[in-house]
Amino acid sequence: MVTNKGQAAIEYILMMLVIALMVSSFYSVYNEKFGKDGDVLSFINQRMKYSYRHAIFGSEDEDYNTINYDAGREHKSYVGDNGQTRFFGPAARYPQ
Amino acid sequence: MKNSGQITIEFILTFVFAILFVLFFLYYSINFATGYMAHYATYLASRAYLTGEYEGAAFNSDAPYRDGERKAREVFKEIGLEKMGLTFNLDTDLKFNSPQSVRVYEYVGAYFKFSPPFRISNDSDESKNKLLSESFLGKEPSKGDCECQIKKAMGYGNCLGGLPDVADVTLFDNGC
Repeated sequence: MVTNKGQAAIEYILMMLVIALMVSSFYSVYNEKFGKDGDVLSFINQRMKYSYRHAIFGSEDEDYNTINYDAGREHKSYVGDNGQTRFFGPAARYPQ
Repeated sequence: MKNSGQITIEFILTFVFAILFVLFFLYYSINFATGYMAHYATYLASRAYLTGEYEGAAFNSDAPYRDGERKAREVFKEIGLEKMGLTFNLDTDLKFNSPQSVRVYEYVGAYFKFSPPFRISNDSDESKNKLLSESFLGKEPSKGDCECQIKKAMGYGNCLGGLPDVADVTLFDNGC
């Protein structure tokens, strides 16, 4: 006659397997998004770096090793469309 | 089945979440607060560079720029950013654009690269973990340059020669 003695153990093992799979898949997704090099933190850090330097929002990746101030008017704090630089300016050109 | 552990489990889960939430903002707040101090120190350095000059700088030399840098570094050092957890090398990370080194005059001044107290990148390239502070206030003309301008305005073309004692002239302040 078949007994039910091992049922709880089998159920326990299966349950543990399912939980382990859930945790591992959750962990990889979590790491991808919120890990040290995750999308979310990278984006926040990039925005922090950009806004710290320029005092305006942006997330452009800038390499501080290759900054060349002599290259011309390329500084994003100074050169850009209306509302994209550090300075105030008229929304439209003054009438000539 | 007893529910006596439920409160404990809920407390632990909520507590961990709350602590992580607070730490997250603390982490960025400290980085930003020390970053503001770095901006301030860079501004002070740029201001010292703007006017810094020792006596006797010759006309058309880079001595006023070197003097300005030296004074700016002294002022910058007094802020004591390293005590706030910033990592940098004062000699190589605080730099200056002189009027001679850049074509665009708006970029004359000081800039400072540093690592904040908490890492903002886990990249092995350490330059990714840097913040950049800039303060471009320009540079006043040196006394030698002013003297030259005055001589030229008085009609003596040679900046290096002395003024003759025979000329009667009236000078006005042109900002030098």
